[in-house]
Amino acid sequence: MAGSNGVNLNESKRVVPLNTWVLISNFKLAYNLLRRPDGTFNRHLAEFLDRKVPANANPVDGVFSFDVIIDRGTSLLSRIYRRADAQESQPNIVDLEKPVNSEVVPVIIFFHGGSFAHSSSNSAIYDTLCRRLVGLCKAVVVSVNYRRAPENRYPCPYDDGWTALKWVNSRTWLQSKKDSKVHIYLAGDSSGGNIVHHVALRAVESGIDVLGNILLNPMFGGQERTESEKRLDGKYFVTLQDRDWYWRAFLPEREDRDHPACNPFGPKGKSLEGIKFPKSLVVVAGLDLVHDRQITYAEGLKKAGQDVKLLYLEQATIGFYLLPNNNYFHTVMDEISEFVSPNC
Amino acid sequence: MKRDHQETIGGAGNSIGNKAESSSSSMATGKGKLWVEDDQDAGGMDELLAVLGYKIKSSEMADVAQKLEQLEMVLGSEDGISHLASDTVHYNPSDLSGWVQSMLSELNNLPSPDLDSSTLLSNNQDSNPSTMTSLDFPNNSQSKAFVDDSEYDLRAIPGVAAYPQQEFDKSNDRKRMKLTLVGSNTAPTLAVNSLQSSNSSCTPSSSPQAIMAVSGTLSEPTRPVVLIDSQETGVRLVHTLLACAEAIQQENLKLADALVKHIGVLAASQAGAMRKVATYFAEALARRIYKIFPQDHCLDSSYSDTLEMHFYETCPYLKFAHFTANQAILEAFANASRVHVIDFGLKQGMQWPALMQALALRPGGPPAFRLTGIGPPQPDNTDALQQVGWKLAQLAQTIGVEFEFRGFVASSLADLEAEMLDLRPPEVEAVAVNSVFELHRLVEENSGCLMLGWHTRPLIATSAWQLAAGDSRLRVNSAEFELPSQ
Repeated sequence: MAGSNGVNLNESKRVVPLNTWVLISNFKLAYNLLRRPDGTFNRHLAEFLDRKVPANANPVDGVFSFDVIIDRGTSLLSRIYRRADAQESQPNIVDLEKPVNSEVVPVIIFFHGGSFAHSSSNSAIYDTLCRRLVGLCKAVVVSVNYRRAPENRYPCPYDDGWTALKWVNSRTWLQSKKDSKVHIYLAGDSSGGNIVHHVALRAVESGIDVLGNILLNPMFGGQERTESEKRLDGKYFVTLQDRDWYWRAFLPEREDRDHPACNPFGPKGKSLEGIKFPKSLVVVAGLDLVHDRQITYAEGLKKAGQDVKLLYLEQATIGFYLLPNNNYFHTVMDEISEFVSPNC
Repeated sequence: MKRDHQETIGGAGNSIGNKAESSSSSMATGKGKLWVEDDQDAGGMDELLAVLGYKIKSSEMADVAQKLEQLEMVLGSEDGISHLASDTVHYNPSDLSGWVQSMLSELNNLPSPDLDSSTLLSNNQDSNPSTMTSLDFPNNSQSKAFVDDSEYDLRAIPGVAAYPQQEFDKSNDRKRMKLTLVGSNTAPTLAVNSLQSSNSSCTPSSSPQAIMAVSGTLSEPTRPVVLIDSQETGVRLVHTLLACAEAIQQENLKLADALVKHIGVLAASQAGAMRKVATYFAEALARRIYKIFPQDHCLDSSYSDTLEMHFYETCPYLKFAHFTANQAILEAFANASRVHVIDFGLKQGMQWPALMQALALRPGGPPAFRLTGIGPPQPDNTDALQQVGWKLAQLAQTIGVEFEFRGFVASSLADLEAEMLDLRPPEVEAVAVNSVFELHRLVEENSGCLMLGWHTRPLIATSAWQLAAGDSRLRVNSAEFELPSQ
């Protein structure tokens, strides 16, 4: 962990609640164990350490979930979260894909984070987050269990996201009553945020309407080091070294970090000017070492004339949205809820 | 989560600026308050982390943090620590404190004093669940309760229960769960339960303080469901039919009702044969659900005869029952020169052609074959028995078997008496009594036909019957017993 020392550890401890600190430090440590210097990944141990939860067709706090195989060829699973009707204590198999019965129901396709290598739809942290989103936004959430690096490199997660998007769009039971169309939003954190951008891009010419993108601490990078990357390296749970490792694991071999997947508005990127791109909500944590890149991304959208709202949370670290024990969490939840609300 | 905006921002100074547009809120209280007690549940566990799969007591949080720091310091100097992954044995990742400690100890090459035998429950996904029944604890009064689950940690999330409920978990036969309950005082006994099959129940330990882990609120089991999405309505139709049948079998009529309606919708979208078959199936299922059973004798007898013959041809169960019975009879008749079969339910006599052919092929030539067929009176007064007998006689002639037939019409077998059957002495004639799918009726009628069977002094009695209602599978049995000769 280049650049880390005792002082830095204390510093990160001062900006987050203790249990958050324990949680994220644990991830940091565990993930460190999993990354091998030769670029391979200890998947077996990763799955062992990951705390997972099953889907649950019995509603808990008014939300139930079930898994669906979307694509057999790639074993693509997604977990679907819905609100239970008041009188339904145990949705049966017919109820699972019962048509949504509101004028407008947002359907949020969620891509979990994990720097393209870690976590799954059934990771407890993401299952919890998705459940929150259901209640918060009165939405159906579809959490895509995309293929991960290094076993599956670019463009696999984007392909999976695209498959999921097509699938969601073609479900009649997800259509809002108002216009018999599926009201789709894309959301994701870390690598999931990156996937959101690229799936939205692919959707542009396709005729599938994406109503909005939500990017939480999206994972972007670039060959040159930015100011925040240099300044914050190793200070708040994340190091440049591990960021580099993940890009090397995800990007095609022999590509550098200016590949457009990593750096969409970089030297090899292209402008989105004149393209009908969804409105975006970009949430940036001030203590995330790549926040420069995230701000650059938002500015790139803006320059291209796209609708983008940048939410900059000065003292937030990565993972702040995993636990509801800080102000930023609630702020972001409110913003998200407003973003997908039909009145927007 | 049901938490309102909480001011749980710990930490020393006011370094937390807030550019975000949230409503103003008071900053954290003084230094040193690094955690909030509201986050605990009854067991003192940090509830927020528990929902995410980590069991750490709030009071231990600082300690765990410190261990994490230590570990980081030790590991910080190395370039990669991935070799640790393979060198270390990893125990329960949910017990973060233990996990970190074990790695620290590994690094320091010390046996950890904190590790007690409870953490040695291996959490390996592939290993067999250990079924320890008792463990001795050192007398530290720390009571620990944790759940050891290789794949899934939590039963019901989020919400109150930080601990899984495991009374009955019908749906999770894929998972293995171990629940270890520890009493907090000396000499605790443990009950370790592996929920390998879906119906095992949790038996709590005998220690009175043992049930600290089960918070007793949520008792809903988890129902993980995986849908295999099929674009093809045909496949969905089949799945729904099967699901409906299963629901009926499980007496879940509410679900079955919902499904059968769904089948109607799906079937309508099909064409041709699929549609017809599905519709008939759905109708049959519906009759089962709504308990609409056909009355007896509502079918024209020739119609029902034709139906029975087709059923016989298409469905193997009856044929198999006949086959088995015939084999047994053949064996019993091995050396007899004259044989007599009494059939308590002749119906169409479908069992006998095969037997007669087998007799015809017997080395040394066929015996003389006499068949006594018993059947109920026909509503249209036709003599069905004679017709069957006549057809069998024709068959016997073509295959060269000496054949004699007698039919008895009896609405109840109580009407029959042994004398009526014209039984001949056993030296002359070997007798077999045959009852295929008649047993329930015989027993219900309390007809004494079993005694009748006895009186015929058969060499063998074959019977096949269907198990009782609720078990729709068929069983075939061939009961062979020798009656003492008199």
